[in-house]
Amino acid sequence: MTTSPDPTSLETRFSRGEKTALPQMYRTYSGPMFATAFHLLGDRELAAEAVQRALVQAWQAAATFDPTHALRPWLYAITRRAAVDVYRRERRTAHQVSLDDTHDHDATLSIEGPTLDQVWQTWQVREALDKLHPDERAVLQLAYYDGYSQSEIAEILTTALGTIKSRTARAQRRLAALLTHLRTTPDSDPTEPDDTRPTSRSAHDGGERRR
Amino acid sequence: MRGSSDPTDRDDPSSQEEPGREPSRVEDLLRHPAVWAEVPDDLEQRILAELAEPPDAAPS
Repeated sequence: MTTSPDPTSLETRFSRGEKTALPQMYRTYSGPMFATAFHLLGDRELAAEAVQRALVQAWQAAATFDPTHALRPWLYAITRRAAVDVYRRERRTAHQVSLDDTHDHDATLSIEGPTLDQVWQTWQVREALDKLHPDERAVLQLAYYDGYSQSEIAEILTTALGTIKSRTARAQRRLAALLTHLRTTPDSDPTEPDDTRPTSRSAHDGGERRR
Repeated sequence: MRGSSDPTDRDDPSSQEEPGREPSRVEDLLRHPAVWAEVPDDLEQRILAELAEPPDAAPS
C-alpha cells in the first residue's frame, strides 16, 4: 500500500511546479547548498554559480521529482554535481593557463579535498545552524569560527558574560540535539558514491577567518 | 587564533561540555569557513532572472 503525498508539503508543491515552492525551497536549502558548494570549491563566487545551476536544474526537473521522497538528499546530489561541473571547468581553465606558462599554475589544484562524508556533514551542520536563533548562531560563530573567548564575545556584543555563557550553552544543546547522529557513528553520504567529486582543492584555499 | 592572553579566562565553549570528551566532528566543522559562508544577497534574484529567461535564449 502506498500513501499519498501531503498536497501542501514542499515536495508536492515543488513537483507540481507551484511558484510558491521556489522561494520556500530557497529559504530552506540555499544555506546548506551554498555551504556544500563552498566546501567543494573554496570560492564564494564559484559556489554561488554552483547553487544557481543546481536550483535552476532542480526547478526545471521538478516534474520528474517523486514527492513521496525527501527533497533534501535530491537537492544535495544536484548541488554536488553542479559543484563538480564548475570545478571541472575551472580546472580546464587552470590547465590551459599552466600550458602557456613555464610556472606550474596547476600546483594549487593538488591539495587534497574534503571527503564525501565531510561534504554531507557540512550540509547537515549548516542546516542545523540555520535552524538556530540568530543570537545563538552569532555566539557560536564568534566562539568556534572567530575563536573569541566568552569574555571577548560579551564585550563584542556588549552583553553580560553570564548571558553569553547561557546563550552559548543553549545553542550548543540545540545544535547537539539536531546533530546527535554526527556525534556517534559516521554518517554516510545519502547519495550514490561518486568518484567525480573534486578532490584536489578545498575551501581552505578560499576561506579566511576573520581574525 | 584565540585573542585572550589571560590564562584564567578559560571560558572556551567546548570546555563547558563533558570533561574528557573528544572534540566532535561537529566542532571541527564549526571551525570550517564553509558552514558559516553567507549566501550572496543577490543569488535568489539571479536564479529568478535565469528562470524567467525564455528556454531558447542563448547567452551572448
